[in-house]
Amino acid sequence: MATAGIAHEIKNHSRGGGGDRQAVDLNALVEDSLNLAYHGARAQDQNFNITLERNFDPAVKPIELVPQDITRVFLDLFGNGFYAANKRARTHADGHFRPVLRVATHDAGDAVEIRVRDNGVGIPAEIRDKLFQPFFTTSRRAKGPASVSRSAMIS
Amino acid sequence: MTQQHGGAIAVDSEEGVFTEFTVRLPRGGRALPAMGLSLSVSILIVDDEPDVTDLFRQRFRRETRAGTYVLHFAASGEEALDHLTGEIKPQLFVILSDINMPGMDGLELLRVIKERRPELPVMMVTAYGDDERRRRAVEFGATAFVTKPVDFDLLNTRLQQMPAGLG
Repeated sequence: MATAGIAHEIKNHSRGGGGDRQAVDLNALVEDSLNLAYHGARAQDQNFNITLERNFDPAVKPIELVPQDITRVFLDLFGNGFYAANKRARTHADGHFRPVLRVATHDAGDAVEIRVRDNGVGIPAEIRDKLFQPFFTTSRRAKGPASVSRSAMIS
Repeated sequence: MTQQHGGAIAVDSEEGVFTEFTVRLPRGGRALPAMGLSLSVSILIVDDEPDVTDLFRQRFRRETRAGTYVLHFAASGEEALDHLTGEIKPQLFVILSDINMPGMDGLELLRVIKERRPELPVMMVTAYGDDERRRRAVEFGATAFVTKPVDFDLLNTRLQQMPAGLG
């Protein structure tokens, strides 16, 4: 797994999308991305399952951004969460563990915040450190953001 | 590029329990032409000079507002180590330390940090031409040097080049 870091990929994709900035209903964009990620994961693995919890702030006002770019970021984060939660689920053979991905939005006035939380395996401290470390690379130069963030997060 | 968002992302996680990513998208991102979406990171600045706090806050106002940098300050080497023991959020990314301080000086601090957190980049802030101390700092594992008075544009560029995504 090789990556110059999740942020690098996010940056590249946030710059290279080519879409136009527009005022966007962020809750709707998050919902669409979540559905897309979920059905994408189901298409890849019929046994895939996860409980999605949404806590969307109804007060989130439209924000100007390039929707395609932010959608990519969300798809990566959701994909990572699915992966981490299901990786943990596989270690609970008794089936008592229920993988959950919680997505929350919040309008903080000068910014909108999106929180993506999974109850999965977590990121070991040393990997977490490396997410922020200069020139951190793992073994494979990843092509897409999903593989990048996953490789950086879960190893 | 005109389509940058100027945003930040932070991560929090406990192994075997959870991972949480927080994406922060500032409104009016166009006002931040130099920034794409980037990781939100903490910078710990160690200096016994009280004015340094205001100076850094002022010069990194834009980055702080965007959430790219979260600034933490310590007035001594000892205080800096307290910061290391406690949890700094978001993830501590780099320490900038003055060398010349009463009590534990910057070189000693560097040595202790490298013992405890060898992976953590430490930049030493020094006067120009302080070759002997720079040499010792390199031996102790200093990542880079920042010459006083600090050129903030240069410092910012170097910080953005360090991690993959601060830019």
